[in-house]
Amino acid sequence: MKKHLFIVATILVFSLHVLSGRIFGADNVVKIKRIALMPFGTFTAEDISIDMTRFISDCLIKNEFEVISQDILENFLAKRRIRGTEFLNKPAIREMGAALKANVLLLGSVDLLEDCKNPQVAMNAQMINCFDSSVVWANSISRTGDDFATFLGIGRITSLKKLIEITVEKLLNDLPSSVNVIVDMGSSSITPIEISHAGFSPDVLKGGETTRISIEVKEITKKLRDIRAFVLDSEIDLKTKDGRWYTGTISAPAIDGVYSLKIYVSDRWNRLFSVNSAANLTVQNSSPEITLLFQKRLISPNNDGINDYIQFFPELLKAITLESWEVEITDKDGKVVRSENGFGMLPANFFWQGENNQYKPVKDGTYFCRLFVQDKAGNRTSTAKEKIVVDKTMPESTVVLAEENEESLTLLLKTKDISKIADWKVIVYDRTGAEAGKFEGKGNVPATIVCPVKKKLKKDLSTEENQSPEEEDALTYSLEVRDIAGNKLRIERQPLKCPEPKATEPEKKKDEWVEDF
Amino acid sequence: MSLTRKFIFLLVILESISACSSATTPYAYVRKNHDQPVVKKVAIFSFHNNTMIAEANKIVTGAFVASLVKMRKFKVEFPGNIKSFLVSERIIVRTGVDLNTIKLMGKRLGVDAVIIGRIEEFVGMEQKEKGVIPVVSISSRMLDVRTGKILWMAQHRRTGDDYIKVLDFGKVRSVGELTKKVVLEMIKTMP
Repeated sequence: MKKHLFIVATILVFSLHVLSGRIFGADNVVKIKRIALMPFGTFTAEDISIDMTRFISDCLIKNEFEVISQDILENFLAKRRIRGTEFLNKPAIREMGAALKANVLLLGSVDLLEDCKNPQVAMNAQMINCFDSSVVWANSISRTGDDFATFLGIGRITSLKKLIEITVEKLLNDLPSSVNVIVDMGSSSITPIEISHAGFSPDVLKGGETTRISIEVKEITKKLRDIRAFVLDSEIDLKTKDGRWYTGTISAPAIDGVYSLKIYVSDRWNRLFSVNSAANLTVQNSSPEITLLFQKRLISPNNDGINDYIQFFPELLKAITLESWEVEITDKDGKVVRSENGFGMLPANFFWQGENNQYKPVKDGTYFCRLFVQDKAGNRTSTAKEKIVVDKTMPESTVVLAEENEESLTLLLKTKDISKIADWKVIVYDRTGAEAGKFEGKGNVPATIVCPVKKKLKKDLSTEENQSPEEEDALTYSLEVRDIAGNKLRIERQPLKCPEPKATEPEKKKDEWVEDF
Repeated sequence: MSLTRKFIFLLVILESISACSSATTPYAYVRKNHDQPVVKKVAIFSFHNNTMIAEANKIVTGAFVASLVKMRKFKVEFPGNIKSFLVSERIIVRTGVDLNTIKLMGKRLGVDAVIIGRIEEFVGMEQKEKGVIPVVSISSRMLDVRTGKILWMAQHRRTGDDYIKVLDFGKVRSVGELTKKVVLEMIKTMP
């Protein structure tokens, strides 16, 4: 009886062990026998051809590994249209492992190969577990001929071939002899069936719109029995023609958000495996929020280095992916004078130099800037019209002598400009040429200026003799007026003129009755 | 002076000389009181190359992956899976990645953190004349995929001469070897 009990207990423990392995995905150590070696490339140095893959293959064989023939590997890669290491991913590696019965994949690159007096080699290699595509070993190495030089340069390597042999040996000297594999595929990350591609098209849309889903399935170790895909709790009706690509359509959820695609696959033993977040669907019903920020709104594009361009900054207030943007500048009649558009991200800033779409300067006046954006879901929005003033004309200003008496001069000033006046300066010179008064200020130019006159100085006879009567009598002024756009009017020593008398209209002759027919 | 004393005296001098040589450690930051679960698996993005040497990012990224795998601090995601993810999501990585991408990557690839970095200097690769002192300067940071917070960051710059012990012994002559040393010193500061 005791003997029977012992046998039953042993069987029970063994079964439990196996079962636990199946449930929890127990690890098992597998000896590395077969290695798939991805091509490292062939290089030419001076007049010799160096096949790096062969060097590595020889080294692996020396270390008692079985290297899969390059022809077989290339055939596998060509069938799956894998053109290089950079196109390898988890499903491809797992498929390779299953198809070629390879335990691991060795890949890497030759980063430097220099054949000169001091030859140089730099390379890196990684060993990937074909069972789960995990990196089990990695190494990088860089060697030069000088690295082997000892006292008085003895031992220096000058042959590139020899250096490669030593470097490859050193690179692969600590390769592992075994890898961990999961006995059973109960683990969620390692499944007998790989989803190599899953995606929505379009993947960003408005709620209620229809999107197409496509899923590519790769059977790694077991045959697929059933596949089901869900977004939230709505199942997508999947159809296939070749048993590899599954397609279906779904109506997007109504509420804004990012929705993950969940895929369930079952193998022929009816074991269920799930893949979370295989693809994401983004629902965007609200329009993007944007704003335009300006440092200044006035521009004087006259190439004087002051306010020659305007810079404005678009800012996306709600972080969403934009499909396209368009910025346009219109005149006061609403006619577009300058526009620019692009796709994707907004530029950090915009510059406008007062040119139209033909790159010709626009007229002075008021313009309006507006930014339009459209997100990937098709929601379109724009900023408010932002006012920009183009003023490249200098202020117009006239100064006339309104009144002159012994004590003062009264000047009348008239200034005209689109923009406000920033500052001004008037200097009045008396008949001797000396400065009679200096007036300056910020803001608008005053309409009248009264300049006190100093008592007449005794004129220097010698200068009087030399001066012409016109010069002797002239009162002069200098004027500087600058508007806020940076345009500056400068008048130097111009004679002060009296106001022009108002032109009187000649009296119209009354129609007289002429009796003389 | 006896022979033993002479030997000890020589050793002391050699030791003091070696102590005089540069022994800089990386500028490193490690987030403390981080309440997230321990990082088990990391994804390493190809380092952004800020130098004129085209191969620099391949060498540095390769060295980083190799050193992390060797030190067994974290599991490293196969770079092909990272590339495949970026291609499928149409993401271009230059100097950094946005939080949404990091989060999605965490879910899709099952990684806990991502490592991104930049190569600032890489001298000694193209200079064929002898006597060029190699220089490597790298900055790198590790980001939590759940929050996007920086868990670790380090900046390190070394030259081949920094490793001279006495006379010319210990000098690093190739930029590749120097890269390995720099990367290793940086990884040692990781949490």
